[in-house]
Amino acid sequence: MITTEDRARAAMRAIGDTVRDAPPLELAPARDLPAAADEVRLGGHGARRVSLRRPGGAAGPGRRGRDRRWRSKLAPVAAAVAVAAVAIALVTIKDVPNGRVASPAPSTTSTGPAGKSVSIPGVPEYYVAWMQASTPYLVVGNTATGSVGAVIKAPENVNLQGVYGAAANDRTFIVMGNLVFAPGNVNLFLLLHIAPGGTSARLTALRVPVLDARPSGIAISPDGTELAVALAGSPATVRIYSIPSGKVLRTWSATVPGAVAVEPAAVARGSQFTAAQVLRWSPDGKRLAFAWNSAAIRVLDASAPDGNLITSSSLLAAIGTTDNKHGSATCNASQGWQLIADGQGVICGGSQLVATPAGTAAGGACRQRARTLVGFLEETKNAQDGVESSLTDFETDCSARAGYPDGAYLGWANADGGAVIGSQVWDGHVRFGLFRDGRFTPLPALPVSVPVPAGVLIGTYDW
Amino acid sequence: MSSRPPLTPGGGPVGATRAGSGATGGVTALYQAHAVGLIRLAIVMLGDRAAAEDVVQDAFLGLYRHWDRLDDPGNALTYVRSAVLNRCRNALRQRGQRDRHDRQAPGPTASESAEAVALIGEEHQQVLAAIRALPDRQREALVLRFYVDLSEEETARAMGVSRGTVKSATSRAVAALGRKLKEGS
Repeated sequence: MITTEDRARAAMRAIGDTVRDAPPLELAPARDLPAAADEVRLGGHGARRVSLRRPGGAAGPGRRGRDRRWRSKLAPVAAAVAVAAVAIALVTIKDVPNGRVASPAPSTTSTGPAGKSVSIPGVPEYYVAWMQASTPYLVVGNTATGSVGAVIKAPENVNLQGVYGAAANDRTFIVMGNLVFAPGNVNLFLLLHIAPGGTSARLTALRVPVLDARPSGIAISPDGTELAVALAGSPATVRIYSIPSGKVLRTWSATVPGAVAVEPAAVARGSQFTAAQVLRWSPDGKRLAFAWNSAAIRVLDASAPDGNLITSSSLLAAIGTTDNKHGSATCNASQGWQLIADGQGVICGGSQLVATPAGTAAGGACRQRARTLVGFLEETKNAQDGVESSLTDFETDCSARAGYPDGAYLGWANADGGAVIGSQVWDGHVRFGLFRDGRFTPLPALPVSVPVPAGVLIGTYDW
Repeated sequence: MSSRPPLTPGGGPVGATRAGSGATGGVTALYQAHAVGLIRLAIVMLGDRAAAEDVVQDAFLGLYRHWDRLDDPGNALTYVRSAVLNRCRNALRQRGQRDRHDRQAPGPTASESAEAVALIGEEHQQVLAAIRALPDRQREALVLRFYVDLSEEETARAMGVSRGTVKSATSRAVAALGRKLKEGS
């Protein structure tokens, strides 16, 4: 029997749950940051705004995931091996939320030790690593010198949750944090500004409203003035906030039925949840791309009026797992991806299962010859069908399955996808660094956990 | 709530990351941490999102103005929660006066968000209307105890009354609410 108390609780919860965020605290911008705190203004959805203090000082027809080309330097996933002492860290490099990173195990590096200068034109100078620890912290690394420039502690009572990409200046990164002692789940947006030289950095709270749900995607615009946030659920929502004011500029949303109507691939692949995941801005800041239901990359005109997320966007490429002549390939949005080819394609982290005729493996223990490769793959509208592999050090995989968390994780890619900063994880091996022209150059990241921390990798599905 | 570490004037949970200090940092940190919860409290009381946000803004403005007079910044949340309750009470009184002036029937009013009504359904809306029709003390005790899940002691502190008053007000609120819902059904 439902009591009066139960009815009261249910009704209060129902209306309370309609509030998911709060109006922003408006803070006067500092000279070099969109948000500082010389002034506090509390603003509401209504016209009222109270000043507290004066400042003192793609589209086109979607190809169903057949246009895949493996980048060079794929790494194998071998059968079970004892997990060695492996250092793992999550690193987000320019424009890629929490791009996957790990400290390169000495035995797995291929070209040159960390610390050696690898200055390459077009490659971002700085990356930021989210370091897993009892109190997570951030590390600023320099891709040119291979050195660690600054270590940033979490603000008091804030649990840093990850780094979600950078503005075009490569010194402004968006960071997510969670209040430790707050009732419920209070997620905060922070901005990390790296000083020239990379030896110091400043973490500042944004005016963007706090959220009670962790976003499924976050991306800062190339000019650093707007923040795109995706919220999972039904309806799934993508919002663009003004970083200086914290105001919502545009909102798009879509429900499950709407998604099914226009994205049959999601149904065919058995997607179970509705979410816009992992946001990416185009380099010119005019378009916003999102992974939809782990099955497609769709592109929005970032200036389009509020409306339906699906009908306002167009399909750029199908992702997920598809069969090809070599076996099956998986482009996993949660492992990082980026627009390439002037927004006409994407490059993503993933894996390829390669099946070959039955035989006996080198050790004589396997009857099936098959292997799973981890690497970066491209999907473009006009690419040739098939898989182009450039493999090194591959091994026979008896199980022919990638073990968790095996895979390639993309942190950053240049405009044509020819250079990638990311990591490969297989059988307890991890290497993080720059993949370019068939070569791998390791970059430093600090050891944080042995073996691979499951929580870190699960977290990728929230990106 | 009592386990929450006290906020410091120089910066609370987030204020430590900012250039600002003192009242600005403390108020900002508190707002970041509790704005959503307080707006939820206010919307339960008022049924209107915009009004709820205004009430919370006013409460934080009051906190900012009186920050220097806080004996213990750790009490800032209690202060601002009480301020939200006071402002909700005033808003409901003003709404009641306006409704009487307009000879409107009690219950959901034009000032309550149509969106909220549509979102939560008619049954919940009836319950909320009945809650809002309770005497101030009973309504506040009910919301703080059953929605915010405060202890009797915390509720007493927020309402500025004794624990015994909270117990009796809560009990009477439940009984009165039951009668109202029965009458309405």
